[in-house]
Amino acid sequence: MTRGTRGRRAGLAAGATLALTLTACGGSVGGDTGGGNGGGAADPLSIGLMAPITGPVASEGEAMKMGFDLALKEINADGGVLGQDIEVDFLDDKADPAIAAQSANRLITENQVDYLFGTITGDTSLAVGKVATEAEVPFSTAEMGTAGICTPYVWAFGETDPMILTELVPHMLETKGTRVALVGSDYSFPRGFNGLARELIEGAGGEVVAEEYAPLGTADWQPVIGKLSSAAPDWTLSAVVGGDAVSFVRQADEFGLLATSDITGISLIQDYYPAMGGVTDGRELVTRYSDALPGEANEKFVAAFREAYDWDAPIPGVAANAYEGLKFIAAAVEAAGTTETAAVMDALSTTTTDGIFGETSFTENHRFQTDMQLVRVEAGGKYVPVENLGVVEDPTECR
Amino acid sequence: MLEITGWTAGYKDTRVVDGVDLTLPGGQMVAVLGRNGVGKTTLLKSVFGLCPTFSGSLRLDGTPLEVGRPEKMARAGLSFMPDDRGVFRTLTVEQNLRLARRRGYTPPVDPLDLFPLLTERADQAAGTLSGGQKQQVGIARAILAGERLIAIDEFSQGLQPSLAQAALEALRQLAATGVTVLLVEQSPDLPLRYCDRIVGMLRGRVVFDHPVDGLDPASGALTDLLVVS
Amino acid sequence: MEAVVSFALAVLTLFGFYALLALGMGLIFGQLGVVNVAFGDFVMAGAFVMYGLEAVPFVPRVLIALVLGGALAWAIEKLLLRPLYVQGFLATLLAMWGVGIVLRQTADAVFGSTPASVASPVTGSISVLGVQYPTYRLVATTVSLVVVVAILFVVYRTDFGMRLRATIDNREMASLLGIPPRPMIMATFVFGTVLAVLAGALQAPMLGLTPHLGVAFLAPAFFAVLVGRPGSLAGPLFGAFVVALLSNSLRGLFSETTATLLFYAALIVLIAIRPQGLDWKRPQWTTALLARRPA
Repeated sequence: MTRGTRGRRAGLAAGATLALTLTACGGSVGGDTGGGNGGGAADPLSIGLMAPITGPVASEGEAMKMGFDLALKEINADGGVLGQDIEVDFLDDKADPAIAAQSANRLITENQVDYLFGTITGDTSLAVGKVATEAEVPFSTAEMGTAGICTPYVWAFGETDPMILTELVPHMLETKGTRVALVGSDYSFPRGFNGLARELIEGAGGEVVAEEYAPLGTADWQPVIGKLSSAAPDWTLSAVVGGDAVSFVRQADEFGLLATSDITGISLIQDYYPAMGGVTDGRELVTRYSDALPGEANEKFVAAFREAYDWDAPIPGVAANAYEGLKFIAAAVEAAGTTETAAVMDALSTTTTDGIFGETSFTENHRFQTDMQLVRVEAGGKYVPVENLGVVEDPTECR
Repeated sequence: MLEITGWTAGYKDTRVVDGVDLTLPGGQMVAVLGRNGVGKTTLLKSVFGLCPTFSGSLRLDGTPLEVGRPEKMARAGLSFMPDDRGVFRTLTVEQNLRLARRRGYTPPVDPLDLFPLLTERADQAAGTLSGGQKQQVGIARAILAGERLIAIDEFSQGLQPSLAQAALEALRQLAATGVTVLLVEQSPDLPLRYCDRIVGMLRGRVVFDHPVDGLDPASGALTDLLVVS
Repeated sequence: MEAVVSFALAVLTLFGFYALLALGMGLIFGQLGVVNVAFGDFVMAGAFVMYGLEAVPFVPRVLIALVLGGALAWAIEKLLLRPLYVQGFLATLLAMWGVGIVLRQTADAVFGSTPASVASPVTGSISVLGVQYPTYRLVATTVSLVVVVAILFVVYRTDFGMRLRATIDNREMASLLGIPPRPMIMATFVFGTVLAVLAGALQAPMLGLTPHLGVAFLAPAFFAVLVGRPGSLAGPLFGAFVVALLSNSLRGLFSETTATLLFYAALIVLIAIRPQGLDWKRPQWTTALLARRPA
């Protein structure tokens, strides 16, 4: 999840990286729709999509691509943009910044795309953001967090740390207690996430009683759980991600930590639910997306997604972000009336949509704003919205 | 009787053994003499399948033996102690000997009578023995496993003379029961006293093959084998 | 007191797991001279079989995993490793690297990379000298330790074990005493691999499964083998104990990341000052023993 650097894990799995280089050759052309070019006046909108569909964050990459592809299908079935089908060139960035930068270059120079979309890990987003800015091509990510780079060309669709934490922390302090344990995978995103949480907790009179990080790929969480348990927290905020999230939460349950204290955070997101074995049922978290959000747009999206991908599990937020993101870009290009960059960027800053999340728009500092939800996890993987928190501002400067 | 025919062996493109024909009748005790590097060790190793054979065939009492399969040689009752003695360092002396025993075969000479040390050190790891003691383990194993033929490279290496002589006496007794004995030696002294036949090698070939009876120890042919020319 | 008991239990649990890995890896290294860098991926494969066949009851499922792992190992030894032995350990290391990649990619293709998990056959916890400890952990640890003891019994107290040790000690001499080298090599590789699969199957209920899961287990197993004396089969067990103790001690005292760093630093120092643990004697691979008659 998170866009932070899963680069670390990629480093741990050096073998994996070589593997990918050796076996998964070249870029496939996944999303090419090939539809009939109606021969309209304007050029078709051409998007370069990059997702790590192999490697350590492949599940997030695939989820993102699924959401994107679904939106693409719907838009093109509906007449496309500017009267023509959107054209997509897809490359697997393998969660490797060098490959991502290379892919971005190739998409811009060879495929002459108008827009870049995708990447999961923070380091790849940063790499592509730099290339895009240099080439003056707009670039959007869909994963949680910021894009790691702040330029006029970067438009991130993911929810940022303050959007998640600003309402979550006071809610938890009030309902669960003031003693908080922070835990996370050891790289920039969880540390940043928990750092902000600490500020908010201490600012609101709470107390951080433990803070622990473990490298990506940690399988045995017993020592960490021991330290957390002995600090006797009222609740734990977990920014442990990936397979480690499952190991951590299940082992925390095994050792009884979850019987004596509550848990929330990134580890609870939809992506990991199927592997949790129900131990997160009844817990609460703040997210932007839940497949149980009310509204016709979401119901339609959920039905289409489940149908298209034979998907029973909770729908991941990154898929929803990518889906809504492409819809948003299409609306902006339609409004601009051209695929020319300056006009598209102007349109991005003024466009609003009413989609699966509700009302959406970009702020001046390129934050994608929409309602945030307090969600309760219920048996069978229902992420039930219990309170619409409204728009949660991210006042931070672009970073 | 073991017949070695047209035997050529070596490493990569080097022929170390070059066209050797050798017939070793049952009950005969044969010594192979020759200077270092003439191919004695390679001959034995290749016959027993431990190094590549380029061409050649093996027959035991007329039945062909598969070349290059040490375990099949062992099953046919042919034993071989290589020049490094091949002692299992991590196993005890007793285990070393146990691995060499053949089901249904008790040699007429008990190697434990021959080498009392092997009983005293039965539970000691063989790797901790001295060179001469390892030699005793190696020879004892060769006797236990050699129902048909016993081949011993560098027979007297590290053995005190009294033990070497006792071992040769024992091998003579075994030969008397029909076992073929093949020894590789550096010096002709012991072979001349105990063996039936002396085979000399030079540059990978057999250049000398003579019964000990009637052989003049001072004959030029014999000394030529051993003197560096 | 409670702290001591929980610490001991944590060490014991980790030891049970690492002992299986180290024993398997040590056997394969000792017998084949193969540095099996795919070892962690066999752990992953074992865990994923447990996930893939969730409909089958737990115990038979473990047995199926072992059989499948054994069959896979058989094929790998016969088709991939056998022609490579004579080319030295780098060739086999790279071959096993390739096997690891294939295993990861296969798991990725079949199961996807979304974390998966396996339901624990035993839930709840029981009190051990006043410390509540998850029951399944105790069960898994007990099974691991029983398997380890059984292996030690077979290796040190049976005729087969003696023959196995003889081939590891000196394959040529063992063959001269009628122990065929190929079946012993095959048996060792299959058995060593099955131990990794067993470790993975037993650990599966405690883990979030991803195709990259195995990477985390390769290094501890490798170090356990290095700390002990490869070739001696009890060596890796000693190594596994050192690794489990060191890992738990450091992780109790420091943050995870610091502990991981210190852990590897300490192991490197340990290996450096105890070079007799590092016996890189390669088994003899003569062409005559492994290839048929040369052309």
